[in-house]
Amino acid sequence: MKTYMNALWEDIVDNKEVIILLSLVWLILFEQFTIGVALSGVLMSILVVVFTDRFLLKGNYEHSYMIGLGTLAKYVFRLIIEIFLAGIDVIPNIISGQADVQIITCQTKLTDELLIDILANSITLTPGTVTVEKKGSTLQVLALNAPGVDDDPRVVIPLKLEDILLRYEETLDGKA
Amino acid sequence: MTQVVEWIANIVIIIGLIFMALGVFGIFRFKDYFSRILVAAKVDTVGFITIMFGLMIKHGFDFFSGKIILVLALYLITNPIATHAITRSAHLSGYRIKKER
Amino acid sequence: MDFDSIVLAIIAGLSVFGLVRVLDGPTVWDRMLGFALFSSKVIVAAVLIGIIINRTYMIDVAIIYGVLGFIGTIMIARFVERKGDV
Repeated sequence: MKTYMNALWEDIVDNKEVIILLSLVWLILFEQFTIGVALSGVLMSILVVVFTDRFLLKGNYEHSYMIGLGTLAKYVFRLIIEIFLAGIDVIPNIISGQADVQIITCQTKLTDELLIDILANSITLTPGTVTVEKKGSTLQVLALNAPGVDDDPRVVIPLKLEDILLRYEETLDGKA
Repeated sequence: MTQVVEWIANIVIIIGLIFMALGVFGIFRFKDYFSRILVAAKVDTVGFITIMFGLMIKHGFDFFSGKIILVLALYLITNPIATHAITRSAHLSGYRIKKER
Repeated sequence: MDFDSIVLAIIAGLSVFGLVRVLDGPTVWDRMLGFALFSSKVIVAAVLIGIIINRTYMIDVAIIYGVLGFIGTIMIARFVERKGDV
């Protein structure tokens, strides 16, 4: 019994960032801030996380599905700026009606599966590029304004976003 | 002061409307499907984000803005997956443009 | 007629063009693209209606519509990709 409680407590401490996020969503959906609502929210989030950890996933929740609150905030901020810059870049193409569409194969430096997925979704979200296929760390990207034959194909990837993910991956390797 | 904030929010919303109108204009401008999905759907995303930011500035800091943030987060997660599914379906079904490299 | 109502009218007008793309797209993927465009317009319209009538439950409608549009797009894309075998 004692060891079981200890394992439960370790689970909760490991997944505290997910619990904070879920409690915030609960509070927003209830539209009021009282002690009862906050307590029930924290309780429900702990139940959800522990249940998922024990019965639905092999391995730890934190290590497979969370990239850290600080990294997440920085990443979303940077992503929105990139989306705006790329959106302004695309406007002349729409008005003139000219497009040089090509499928380009390129490599990322990331190796973690979840981080590659996040990067692929960000590439799709920025105007002018859409990911078509992913295999390992090789991405096939459909690009408007494709780079020439001798140019570096990596310009279709938003490099600043990749930098943030790379920096996170280094800390991940030390921990796991 | 509230007047100034409201005018800023209105200007942001108008910018978002211009982006959205460009996206709708884009799907009638191009003849090829791949260029259409590149230009149209994605510029539409910029317009969506801008309009949501304008509405949040207009409403101030309360639970309504929090719910708008929830809608925005849901859209940011699901929209690239939907676009990717459509494009991959077209690619696997044999729709081609030019030579690949 | 205040500013929000004018914005709502413009959004409704733009969504009609998305439906036009659904009706006469040359390929089936054009129709799916038009549907995705239309569903994003509906989400914005639902939030705007919530602001105009000053009720928060319209945003729940927007969330539900977003989830339903996402599932619909994914299922149709899979259906076409595997030639009828979901």
